[in-house]
Amino acid sequence: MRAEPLLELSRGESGVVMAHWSPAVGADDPTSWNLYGGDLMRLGEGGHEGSPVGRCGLAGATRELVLEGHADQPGHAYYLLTRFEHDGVETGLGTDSSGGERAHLHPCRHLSACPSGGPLIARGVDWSALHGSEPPETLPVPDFTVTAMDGTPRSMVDLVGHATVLWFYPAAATGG
Amino acid sequence: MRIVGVSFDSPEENLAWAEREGFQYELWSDVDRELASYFTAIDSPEQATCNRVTKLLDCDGTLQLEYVGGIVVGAHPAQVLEDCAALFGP
Repeated sequence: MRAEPLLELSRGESGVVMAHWSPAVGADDPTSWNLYGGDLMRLGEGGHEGSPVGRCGLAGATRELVLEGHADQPGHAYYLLTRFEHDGVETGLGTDSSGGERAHLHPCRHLSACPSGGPLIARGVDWSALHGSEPPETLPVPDFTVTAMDGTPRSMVDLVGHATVLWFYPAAATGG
Repeated sequence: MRIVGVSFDSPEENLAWAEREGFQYELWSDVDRELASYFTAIDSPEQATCNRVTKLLDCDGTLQLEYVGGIVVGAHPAQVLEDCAALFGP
Protein backbone atom coordinates (compact mmCIF):
# COMPACT_ATOMS: atom_id res chain seq x y z
CA MET A 1 0.00 0.00 0.00
CA ARG A 2 1.31 3.42 -0.90
CA ALA A 3 1.37 6.10 1.73
CA GLU A 4 0.53 9.69 0.96
CA PRO A 5 3.18 12.39 1.10
CA LEU A 6 3.24 14.55 4.19
CA LEU A 7 2.93 18.30 3.88
CA GLU A 8 4.47 20.63 6.42
CA LEU A 9 4.35 24.38 6.63
CA SER A 10 6.94 26.51 8.34
CA ARG A 11 7.81 30.16 8.63
CA GLY A 12 11.37 31.16 7.92
CA GLU A 13 13.38 33.83 9.67
CA SER A 14 12.49 36.39 7.04
CA GLY A 15 8.80 35.67 7.55
CA VAL A 16 8.20 33.73 4.35
CA VAL A 17 6.02 30.67 4.61
CA MET A 18 7.53 27.51 3.20
CA ALA A 19 5.79 24.31 2.25
CA HIS A 20 7.79 21.12 2.39
CA TRP A 21 6.53 17.74 1.44
CA SER A 22 8.06 14.33 1.37
CA PRO A 23 6.86 10.78 1.03
CA ALA A 24 5.64 9.15 4.19
CA VAL A 25 7.44 6.11 5.41
CA GLY A 26 6.51 3.22 3.19
CA ALA A 27 5.82 5.27 0.10
CA ASP A 28 6.69 3.35 -3.01
CA ASP A 29 9.22 5.66 -4.61
CA PRO A 30 6.95 8.22 -6.23
CA THR A 31 8.52 9.77 -9.30
CA SER A 32 7.25 13.29 -8.71
CA TRP A 33 4.94 15.44 -6.60
CA ASN A 34 2.18 17.78 -7.58
CA LEU A 35 1.02 20.52 -5.28
CA TYR A 36 -2.50 21.92 -5.49
CA GLY A 37 -3.88 24.89 -3.70
CA GLY A 38 -6.82 27.23 -3.53
CA ASP A 39 -8.93 29.54 -1.43
CA LEU A 40 -10.64 27.53 1.24
CA MET A 41 -13.74 29.68 0.96
CA ARG A 42 -14.16 28.47 -2.61
CA LEU A 43 -13.54 24.84 -1.94
CA GLY A 44 -16.43 22.86 -3.28
CA GLU A 45 -17.92 25.65 -5.32
CA GLY A 46 -17.13 23.89 -8.55
CA GLY A 47 -16.78 25.77 -11.78
CA HIS A 48 -13.64 27.41 -13.03
CA GLU A 49 -11.83 28.30 -9.86
CA GLY A 50 -13.46 26.18 -7.24
CA SER A 51 -12.33 22.59 -7.34
CA PRO A 52 -12.06 19.70 -4.95
CA VAL A 53 -8.31 20.04 -5.20
CA GLY A 54 -7.72 23.55 -6.45
CA ARG A 55 -5.41 24.49 -9.23
CA CYS A 56 -2.07 22.97 -9.92
CA GLY A 57 0.56 25.05 -8.25
CA LEU A 58 3.71 23.13 -8.82
CA ALA A 59 4.72 19.86 -10.34
CA GLY A 60 7.93 17.99 -10.53
CA ALA A 61 10.48 16.44 -8.33
CA THR A 62 10.96 19.44 -6.10
CA ARG A 63 9.75 19.14 -2.52
CA GLU A 64 9.70 22.73 -1.40
CA LEU A 65 7.82 25.88 -2.29
CA VAL A 66 7.73 29.43 -0.97
CA LEU A 67 4.10 30.41 -0.46
CA GLU A 68 4.55 34.03 -1.24
CA GLY A 69 1.33 36.00 -1.37
CA HIS A 70 -0.96 33.09 -0.61
CA ALA A 71 -1.08 32.08 2.99
CA ASP A 72 -0.85 35.54 4.48
CA GLN A 73 -3.83 37.21 2.84
CA PRO A 74 -6.04 38.53 5.62
CA GLY A 75 -9.51 37.06 5.77
CA HIS A 76 -8.63 34.10 3.59
CA ALA A 77 -7.64 30.59 4.35
CA TYR A 78 -5.53 28.85 1.78
CA TYR A 79 -5.37 25.11 1.50
CA LEU A 80 -2.72 22.90 -0.03
CA LEU A 81 -2.75 19.33 -1.11
CA THR A 82 0.13 17.23 -2.37
CA ARG A 83 -0.35 14.30 -4.67
CA PHE A 84 2.36 12.04 -5.89
CA GLU A 85 2.84 10.23 -9.14
CA HIS A 86 4.07 6.86 -10.17
CA ASP A 87 5.10 6.60 -13.80
CA GLY A 88 2.98 9.56 -14.80
CA VAL A 89 -0.14 8.42 -12.99
CA GLU A 90 -1.29 10.53 -10.09
CA THR A 91 -2.82 8.96 -7.04
CA GLY A 92 -6.60 9.23 -6.77
CA LEU A 93 -8.60 11.70 -4.72
CA GLY A 94 -10.77 9.19 -2.96
CA THR A 95 -14.53 9.20 -2.95
CA ASP A 96 -17.17 11.71 -1.96
CA SER A 97 -20.00 11.15 0.53
CA SER A 98 -22.04 9.37 -2.13
CA GLY A 99 -19.23 6.95 -2.83
CA GLY A 100 -18.35 8.36 -6.21
CA GLU A 101 -14.80 9.12 -7.29
CA ARG A 102 -13.90 12.76 -6.74
CA ALA A 103 -13.36 14.54 -10.02
CA HIS A 104 -10.01 16.11 -10.67
CA LEU A 105 -10.98 19.31 -12.45
CA HIS A 106 -7.63 21.05 -12.72
CA PRO A 107 -4.86 18.48 -12.97
CA CYS A 108 -1.33 19.65 -13.51
CA ARG A 109 -0.66 20.28 -17.16
CA HIS A 110 1.43 17.25 -17.87
CA LEU A 111 -1.37 15.01 -16.55
CA SER A 112 -4.01 16.44 -18.84
CA ALA A 113 -4.38 15.69 -22.55
CA CYS A 114 -5.13 19.32 -23.25
CA PRO A 115 -5.12 21.45 -20.13
CA SER A 116 -6.92 24.74 -20.10
CA GLY A 117 -5.26 28.02 -19.41
CA GLY A 118 -4.31 29.09 -15.96
CA PRO A 119 -1.36 30.17 -13.94
CA LEU A 120 1.62 28.67 -15.66
CA ILE A 121 4.03 27.74 -12.95
CA ALA A 122 4.09 24.05 -13.70
CA ARG A 123 7.37 22.39 -12.84
CA GLY A 124 8.49 25.47 -10.99
CA VAL A 125 9.35 27.42 -14.11
CA ASP A 126 11.11 30.62 -13.20
CA TRP A 127 10.58 33.05 -16.05
CA SER A 128 13.51 35.23 -15.23
CA ALA A 129 15.80 32.24 -15.06
CA LEU A 130 14.46 30.88 -18.30
CA HIS A 131 14.35 33.99 -20.30
CA GLY A 132 15.57 36.98 -18.37
CA SER A 133 12.26 38.73 -18.79
CA GLU A 134 8.66 38.77 -17.69
CA PRO A 135 6.24 36.24 -19.17
CA PRO A 136 4.83 37.37 -22.53
CA GLU A 137 1.33 38.68 -22.77
CA THR A 138 -0.95 35.68 -22.78
CA LEU A 139 -3.66 36.26 -25.33
CA PRO A 140 -5.10 33.55 -27.54
CA VAL A 141 -3.89 33.72 -31.10
CA PRO A 142 -6.57 35.23 -33.38
CA ASP A 143 -7.82 33.21 -36.31
CA PHE A 144 -5.62 33.17 -39.38
CA THR A 145 -5.18 31.34 -42.66
CA VAL A 146 -1.86 30.00 -43.88
CA THR A 147 -0.95 27.20 -46.27
CA ALA A 148 0.76 23.94 -45.41
CA MET A 149 3.34 22.31 -47.67
CA ASP A 150 0.72 20.19 -49.43
CA GLY A 151 -1.46 23.20 -50.17
CA THR A 152 -3.87 22.52 -47.33
CA PRO A 153 -5.12 25.60 -45.51
CA ARG A 154 -4.28 25.83 -41.83
CA SER A 155 -6.00 28.03 -39.27
CA MET A 156 -6.38 28.59 -35.56
CA VAL A 157 -8.12 25.23 -35.24
CA ASP A 158 -4.83 23.57 -36.09
CA LEU A 159 -3.10 25.18 -33.14
CA VAL A 160 -5.65 24.03 -30.58
CA GLY A 161 -5.31 20.71 -28.86
CA HIS A 162 -1.53 20.53 -28.84
CA ALA A 163 1.19 22.49 -27.19
CA THR A 164 3.01 24.01 -30.15
CA VAL A 165 6.46 25.24 -30.99
CA LEU A 166 5.89 27.96 -33.57
CA TRP A 167 9.21 28.60 -35.25
CA PHE A 168 9.55 31.58 -37.58
CA TYR A 169 12.50 31.43 -39.97
CA PRO A 170 13.57 33.91 -42.65
CA ALA A 171 13.55 31.52 -45.59
CA ALA A 172 14.00 27.88 -46.53
CA ALA A 173 17.49 26.48 -46.09
CA THR A 174 18.45 29.11 -43.53
CA GLY A 175 18.59 26.57 -40.74
CA GLY A 176 17.92 26.90 -37.03
CA MET B 1 3.96 18.61 -28.73
CA ARG B 2 3.69 19.92 -32.21
CA ILE B 3 6.41 21.77 -34.13
CA VAL B 4 5.48 24.14 -36.95
CA GLY B 5 7.84 26.23 -39.05
CA VAL B 6 6.52 29.49 -40.51
CA SER B 7 7.95 31.69 -43.25
CA PHE B 8 6.84 33.63 -46.31
CA ASP B 9 8.16 30.97 -48.66
CA SER B 10 5.72 29.27 -51.00
CA PRO B 11 4.34 25.84 -50.11
CA GLU B 12 6.40 24.39 -52.96
CA GLU B 13 9.63 25.84 -51.59
CA ASN B 14 8.80 24.62 -48.13
CA LEU B 15 7.94 21.15 -49.38
CA ALA B 16 11.20 20.86 -51.29
CA TRP B 17 13.20 21.95 -48.25
CA ALA B 18 11.31 19.67 -45.87
CA GLU B 19 11.84 16.67 -48.16
CA ARG B 20 15.50 17.47 -48.61
CA GLU B 21 16.09 17.80 -44.86
CA GLY B 22 13.68 15.06 -43.81
CA PHE B 23 11.66 17.31 -41.52
CA GLN B 24 8.98 15.43 -39.61
CA TYR B 25 6.87 18.52 -39.05
CA GLU B 26 4.94 20.99 -41.16
CA LEU B 27 6.16 24.23 -42.64
CA TRP B 28 3.51 26.86 -43.17
CA SER B 29 3.43 29.61 -45.78
CA ASP B 30 2.32 32.84 -44.18
CA VAL B 31 2.33 34.92 -47.35
CA ASP B 32 -0.20 37.40 -45.98
CA ARG B 33 1.95 37.88 -42.88
CA GLU B 34 -0.98 37.19 -40.55
CA LEU B 35 0.89 35.05 -38.06
CA ALA B 36 4.12 36.97 -38.42
CA SER B 37 2.33 40.24 -37.70
CA TYR B 38 0.54 38.94 -34.66
CA PHE B 39 3.67 37.38 -33.23
CA THR B 40 5.82 40.40 -34.12
CA ALA B 41 8.08 38.28 -36.28
CA ILE B 42 8.32 41.25 -38.63
CA ASP B 43 9.12 44.87 -37.93
CA SER B 44 7.03 46.23 -40.80
CA PRO B 45 4.42 44.82 -43.21
CA GLU B 46 6.81 45.35 -46.12
CA GLN B 47 9.51 43.15 -44.67
CA ALA B 48 10.56 40.54 -47.24
CA THR B 49 11.38 37.80 -44.75
CA CYS B 50 10.40 37.28 -41.15
CA ASN B 51 12.76 37.51 -38.22
CA ARG B 52 14.02 34.42 -36.53
CA VAL B 53 11.76 34.06 -33.48
CA THR B 54 10.22 31.11 -31.70
CA LYS B 55 6.98 31.00 -29.73
CA LEU B 56 5.70 28.31 -27.40
CA LEU B 57 1.91 28.02 -27.30
CA ASP B 58 -0.15 25.98 -24.93
CA CYS B 59 -3.04 23.72 -25.91
CA ASP B 60 -5.38 26.70 -26.18
CA GLY B 61 -3.08 28.44 -28.63
CA THR B 62 -2.08 30.93 -25.97
CA LEU B 63 1.45 32.27 -26.01
CA GLN B 64 3.48 31.03 -23.06
CA LEU B 65 7.09 31.68 -23.87
CA GLU B 66 8.93 33.47 -26.64
CA TYR B 67 12.45 33.76 -27.96
CA VAL B 68 13.11 37.05 -29.67
CA GLY B 69 16.59 38.03 -30.69
CA GLY B 70 19.85 36.46 -29.71
CA ILE B 71 18.91 33.05 -31.05
CA VAL B 72 21.98 30.91 -31.62
CA VAL B 73 20.91 28.64 -34.46
CA GLY B 74 22.92 25.60 -33.42
CA ALA B 75 21.95 25.65 -29.76
CA HIS B 76 18.38 26.86 -30.09
CA PRO B 77 16.54 23.55 -30.67
CA ALA B 78 17.97 21.98 -27.53
CA GLN B 79 17.07 25.07 -25.49
CA VAL B 80 13.51 25.01 -26.82
CA LEU B 81 13.09 21.31 -26.06
CA GLU B 82 14.38 21.83 -22.55
CA ASP B 83 11.97 24.69 -21.96
CA CYS B 84 9.09 22.71 -23.45
CA ALA B 85 9.77 19.93 -21.00
CA ALA B 86 9.75 22.45 -18.16
CA LEU B 87 6.53 24.05 -19.33
CA PHE B 88 4.51 21.15 -20.59
CA GLY B 89 6.14 18.14 -19.04
CA PRO B 90 8.35 15.49 -20.63
